[in-house]
Amino acid sequence: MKRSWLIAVLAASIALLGCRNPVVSERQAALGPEQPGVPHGPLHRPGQPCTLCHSASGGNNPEFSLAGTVYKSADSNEPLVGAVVQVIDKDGAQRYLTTNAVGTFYVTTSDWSPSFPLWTSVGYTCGDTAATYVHADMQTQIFRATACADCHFDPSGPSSAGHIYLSSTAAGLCP
Amino acid sequence: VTGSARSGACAVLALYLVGCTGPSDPTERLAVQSSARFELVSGVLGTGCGSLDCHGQVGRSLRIYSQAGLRLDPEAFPSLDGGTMSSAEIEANYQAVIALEPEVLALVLRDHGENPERLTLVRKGRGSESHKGGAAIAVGSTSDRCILSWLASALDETACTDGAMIPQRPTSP
Repeated sequence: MKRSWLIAVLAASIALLGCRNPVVSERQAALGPEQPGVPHGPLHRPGQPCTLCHSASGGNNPEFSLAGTVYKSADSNEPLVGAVVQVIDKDGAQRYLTTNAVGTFYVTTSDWSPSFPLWTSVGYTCGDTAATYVHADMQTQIFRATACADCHFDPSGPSSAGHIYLSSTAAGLCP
Repeated sequence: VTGSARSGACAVLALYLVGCTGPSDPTERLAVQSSARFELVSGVLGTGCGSLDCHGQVGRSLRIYSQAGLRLDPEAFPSLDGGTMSSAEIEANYQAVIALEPEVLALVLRDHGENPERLTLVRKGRGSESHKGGAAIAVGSTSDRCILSWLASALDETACTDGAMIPQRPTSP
């Protein structure tokens, strides 16, 4: 009995190890450790490709349909807190997602599984009144990426548009 | 040397010679569609296929450069604000397309664009063959008509110009 139990555990371990995608595992490892003092949760790892881990292939819950981080400006890594990200899918269904204290927004697959391609825009109200509302549309569609940071990473270059931002300069966001 | 050993040696030599036989005419060249007006087709491929999360990636065999996607110049970056496609990027896109299935491409050219779905490019684009990006270029769309007209050496410039435009956002249902 004891021996058969051991074999079963061994087989399960091998099966689990065999299911790991080495490419995904390597990319996850390349992200590095958690920031000190920041627990797992909505505030961890801003700016990183969330769905590399929070997806069926990534193996971590919750799974996200779309997730990313918005910054104030092109020349700043300061997060844009309270921005509203509008996502429209190919069927016209849409969601409004608000960025949290580190500028991150996400929607889980259990909440919404949009049909690609997607169109997105970011809006932000400066101050307490709606007198100054800043808005920008993403110029192109998202065809399959579920993590904004798959394409939006720093530094900008031939294969990246740089991080997501609303204003070209920090001073220009809410003059 | 025994007879069987001699026979074996002959068989090996024959196999070796057959294995080394190359094309009957190594100077044979395939006639494929011209790159002369490929710029318009390149624009369609850039919009429909070349986003950074699809074929606008360096690891793709069909690697597509575009203004808002992957750039060839290390100093350039994806943006629709200013800047244009360089001739090197258009040439790279042309090479990527013709290198996929040059023999089939030549047959399609010979047949004046008949049966374009012989090409994986067309089948995958239309989604009639398994394609992660689905039917990125719907049958009969301006993009589809552009590509088919290029394959037939009768470029539909209007279809290509329209097909290169980024689709409008859908309205709420």
